Amino acid sequence: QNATCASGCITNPKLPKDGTKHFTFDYSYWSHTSVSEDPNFASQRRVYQDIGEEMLAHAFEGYNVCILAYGQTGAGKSYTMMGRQEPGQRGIIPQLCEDLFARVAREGSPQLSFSVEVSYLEIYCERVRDLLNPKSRGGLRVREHPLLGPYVQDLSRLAVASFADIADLMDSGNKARTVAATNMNETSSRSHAVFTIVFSQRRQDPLSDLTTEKVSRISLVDLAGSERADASGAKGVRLKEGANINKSLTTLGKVISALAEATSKKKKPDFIPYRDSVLTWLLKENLGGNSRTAMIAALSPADCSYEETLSTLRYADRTKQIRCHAVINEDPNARLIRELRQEVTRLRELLSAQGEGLAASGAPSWHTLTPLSPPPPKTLSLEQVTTALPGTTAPVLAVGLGAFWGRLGMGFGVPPPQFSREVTLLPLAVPS
Amino acid sequence: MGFVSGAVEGHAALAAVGGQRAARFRAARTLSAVESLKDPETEPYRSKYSARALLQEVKQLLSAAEEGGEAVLAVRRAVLEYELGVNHTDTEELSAGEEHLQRCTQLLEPHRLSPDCVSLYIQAQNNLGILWSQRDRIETAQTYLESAEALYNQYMKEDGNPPLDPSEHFMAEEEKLTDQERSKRFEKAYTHTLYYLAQVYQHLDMIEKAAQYCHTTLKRQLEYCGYYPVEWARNAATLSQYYLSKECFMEARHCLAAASVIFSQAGQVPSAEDDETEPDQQDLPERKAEIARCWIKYCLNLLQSARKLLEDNIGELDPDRQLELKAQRKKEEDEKEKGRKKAVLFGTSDICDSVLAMEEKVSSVYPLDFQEAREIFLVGQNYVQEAKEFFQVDGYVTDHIEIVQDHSALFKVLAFFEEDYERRCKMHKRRIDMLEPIYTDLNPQYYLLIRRQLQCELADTYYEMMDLKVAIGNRLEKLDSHTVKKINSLAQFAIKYYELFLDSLRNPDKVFPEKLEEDVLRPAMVAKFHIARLYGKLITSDSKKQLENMQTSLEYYSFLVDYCEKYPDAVPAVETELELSKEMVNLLPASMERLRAKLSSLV
Repeated sequence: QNATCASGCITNPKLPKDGTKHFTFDYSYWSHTSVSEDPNFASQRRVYQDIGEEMLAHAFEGYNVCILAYGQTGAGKSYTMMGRQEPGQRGIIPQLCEDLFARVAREGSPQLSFSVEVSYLEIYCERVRDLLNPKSRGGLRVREHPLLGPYVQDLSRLAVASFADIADLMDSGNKARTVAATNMNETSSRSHAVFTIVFSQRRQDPLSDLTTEKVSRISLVDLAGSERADASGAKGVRLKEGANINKSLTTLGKVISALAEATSKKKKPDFIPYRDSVLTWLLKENLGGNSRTAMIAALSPADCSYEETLSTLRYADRTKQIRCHAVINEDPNARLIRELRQEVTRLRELLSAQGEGLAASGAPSWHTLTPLSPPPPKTLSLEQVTTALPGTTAPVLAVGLGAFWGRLGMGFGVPPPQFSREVTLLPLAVPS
Repeated sequence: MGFVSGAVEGHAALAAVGGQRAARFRAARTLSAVESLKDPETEPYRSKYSARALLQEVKQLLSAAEEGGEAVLAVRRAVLEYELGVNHTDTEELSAGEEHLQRCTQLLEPHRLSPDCVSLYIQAQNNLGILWSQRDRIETAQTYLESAEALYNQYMKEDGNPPLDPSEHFMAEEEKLTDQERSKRFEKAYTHTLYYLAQVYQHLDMIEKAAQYCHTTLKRQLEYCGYYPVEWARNAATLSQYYLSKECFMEARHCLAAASVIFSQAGQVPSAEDDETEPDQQDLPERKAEIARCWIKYCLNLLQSARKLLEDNIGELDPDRQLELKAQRKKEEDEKEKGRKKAVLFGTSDICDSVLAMEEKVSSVYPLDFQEAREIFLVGQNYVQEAKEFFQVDGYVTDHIEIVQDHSALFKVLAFFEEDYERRCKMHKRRIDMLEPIYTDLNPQYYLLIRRQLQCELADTYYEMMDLKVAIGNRLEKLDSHTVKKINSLAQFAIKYYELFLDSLRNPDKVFPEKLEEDVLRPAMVAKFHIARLYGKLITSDSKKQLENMQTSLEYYSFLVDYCEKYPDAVPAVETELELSKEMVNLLPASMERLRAKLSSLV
C-alpha cells in the first residue's frame, strides 16, 4: 500500500511560520499546468487509469462501487468527473462508460449477457430532480423497497446499448443541471449530481439451465462546492435565509442528534438517528455496506484559497476513517459460559475417573483424524480511494489547480455482496 | 443618550444625505433577506451582490461631518462593515468577509459595552465564529463566541436595558424600535451565540457542555417564542436521546413530554419566527412517528437499565437485589430529583402543566418487578404501533425494521421480569414471529448489514427458547419425546441462523474469509462457539448420531482455537470463549473415544 501512498503538504501563505501541514493519501496529482510545462503533470487519462479502471473491475466482480468528488467551488470536481468534450479532456465518468462497453463487447457470449441502465439525478436544496426527464420538476421522493433497496420514486432509468447512448444522455442531463454563476466560478455546480449505472451480468449455465444474475450499481457523485457541505459532506443547501438567523438554528436537531451519537458510541445506536440528507441516505450502502468507494478531493493551489483548501484536505483525511460497522447486538452468554464450564468439569472428572483423562493426550488428536480445511486464502483487498484532482483554472481568479489524491483507509465497507436466488429474481423495473 | 440620538440636522443637504443613506441601507437589507430568496437558481447571489453594491454606496455617503461626531461615525461604519462582512461570507468570499467583520469589531472595541454597540458587537463575533468554523478552526471560533457570551453577561449585569438593534443606526428617530422589540432581537442574537457554542463544544468533544448549551437554546426558544413547533418538538425529542444515553430518565422524559405537547401546537399557533409559516407541514405524520420512536427508545432504555441493575451474574433476576432496590427507592423519594428537575424545566406555566400531565403517563423510575415493567412495556408498545403506521415496510424498510427490532427488544426485556418459563418462552416466540417475516423479504445486496443483525437476533432468540425448554424439561420427572423434539428443533433453528450469518461473510465465490474484519470478528467467533455448543446440546438416543454431533461440535470449537493461533490479535475479543474451546478441543476427542469404545463393546 505504501508504494502508492502519496503525501501533500500545505503552508499558509499569510503565516508561513505556522509551519507546513502534511497529509497522506493514496495518490496525489498535479494537473495545474500541462504536460509540456511539467513532467509531473497528471492527465485525465492517468487519473482514470488509477481510479476508474480499478472501480470498473470491482463492478464486474459484482460490487457496488462509488466515486465521490469533493472540494471547493472552482477547484475542478466537475472537470475531474465529467471533463470537457475536447480530446484528452474527458473525465472519469465518460471514460469509465466507454471501457465498460468495450469490455461488455469483448466478454459477451450466449452464456453471458449484460444489460446497462442509467439514471441521472441532482439533489438541489434537498430536492431530487431527474436530469434525464426534462419534465421532472424536482421533489421526487426517496424510498426504500425490501427487494430493490433505496430508490428514487419515478426516476427514469434508461436502458443503454452503447457508449454513444450514455454520452447523449449525459449531455442532455448535464444541460439540465442547476449551474450558477458566482464570483468564484462561472459554472459552479450548485447541486450534487449522482449518475448511476445499473449494470447486470446474466450468466446461463448450459448444464443446469439455471440463470444467475449479478447486479452492481456504479454511482458517480459530483458533490456541490464544499463551502456548503457540512461535516458529512452532503448538505449542499444554499443558505436561503438571512445570514445568521435561521441558518444554524434549523440545524439544531442535527447537532443534538450528534450528541446522542457521541455518547452511545460502540453500543448499537439506541437512539433515532436524525434523518440524514438525501444524498447520504441514497448512498448509505456505499458508505458502509456492499460497496467500494473512492473519494476525490479537488484542491485549488491559489493562496487566497488556503483556508478552504486546508479544510478540504482535513475533510478528505477524516473520510479515510469512515467505516460503517454492522453493529450486532449480542446476547450476554454468561449462562452458556457457566454451563459449559460445568460440562468441562464433568467431562474431565468422567474421563479421569476412567483413567482416560491422562491418556487423552495420547489419544489420536482430532487434527490428525480430520484436519480442518480452512478455505483457500483469497483476500479481497478492499480499497478505497481518496483523491484530489486536477481541474481547470478558475476563470475569475485565474487560479491554477493543484492535484492531489489519495486512497482511503483499507477495508471500509467490505462485506461481499451475496448473489442468492433472491437477487436472481430481482425485478428490474423501478416501481412507480 | 446614545450615539445616534436624533440631534437636529443643521443642514438640509446633510439631512438629505441621511435620508438617502437610510433608504439604501434599508433596500440593501431587504435585498439580502427577502429578495435573495427569489433569486433564480442560475444566479443565486444576484440580490446579495446588489445589496453589496448598495452598502458600498452608503459607505461612500458617510462623512466625517456626521452629527454626533466621531463616535457616531464609527458605529455607522461598523454597522456597514458588519453587513458587508455577512454579505461576503454568504456569497462564499470568506476572506473578504473576515476582513469586514474584523474592521467592525475594531471600530466597536472601545464602546462594546454601550447600549448602542453591544448587540452589533455580539453579532459580529457570532459571525466570526461561524466563519472560522467553516474553515475548520474550531478553537478560533470558540474564542470569538465565548467572548460574545461573556460580553452579554457583563452587559446584563452592568446595564441590562434593551440595547439598540444594529439596523437602528440607519433609521430615523420615529422608526426606532420599542424596548420590547429591542430586547427580543438582542436575546435572539444571544440565543444564537449559545447555539453556536453548543456546536463548538460538540466539535471539541465536550459533549456534556454541548448538551447543556443545546438544552438552553431550546429553553430560550420557548421563552422568547422563537420556534417552529414541529421542529422544536423534534429537537427536544432528539435531545431526550442524549439523556437516555446518560441514563438520565427524568430529563429524557421531560424532553419527550415537552416534545409531544409542543408538537400538538403545530399549525394551531401562528409561528413566531419572522412571521413565516412553518416550512414542513406536509411532513407532520412523519414527525409524529419520529417522536413516537423516541418514546419507544425511552421505554426500552428504562427497562434495559433496570434489568442491568437487577440481574445476577448469569442474567437472571436477582431477588435480593430486587428487595434492596425497593427499600432504597422508598428512602430516597424524590428530593434529589426536584433539584435536578428545576434545572431542565421547559416553558412557561401554561405549557408546563400540559407537560407535567404528559409525564404522568409513564414512570421515570426504574421498574423493579413485572407489574411495573409491564406498564412501561405497554406504553412502548403503543408507540410501536403509532410509529409503524407511518414507517411501513414498503417505502421505509430500514426505519420499519428498526421499529420492529425495538418491539422485539421490548419483549425480550419484559421476559426478563417474567418468572414463568412457559410465558417467557411465548414472549420470545412473539419476537420470532415478528422478525422472521421481515428477514425473509430482504434483498441481501442492499440490506446486508440489517440482515446480519436479524440473523444474529433470530439465532439468539431460538437459543434462548431452547434454553427455556431445557429448563422446563429439567423440572419434569422424565423428558417426554415432545419436549425433546421441541428442544432439538429450536436448536436446529438457532444453528440455521448462526450459519446464515456466517455465510453472509463469504465472498462472491462463497469462500469464507481467511481473516475476519474487525467489526464481525467477535460476532463470527461467538456464532461458531454457539453452534459448537448447540451441537453439544442436541438430544439423541442414537449413539452414532451423537458421535456425529460431537464431531461437528469439535470442528467448531477447533475453529476458534486454530483461528486464534493463526491470528493472536483476535484473542482479546474472545478470551473466555477461547479458553473453553481449548478445553473442549482437549476433552471431546477422548469422550468420543470413550463413546466409540462403548459402542463397539456393545456390538
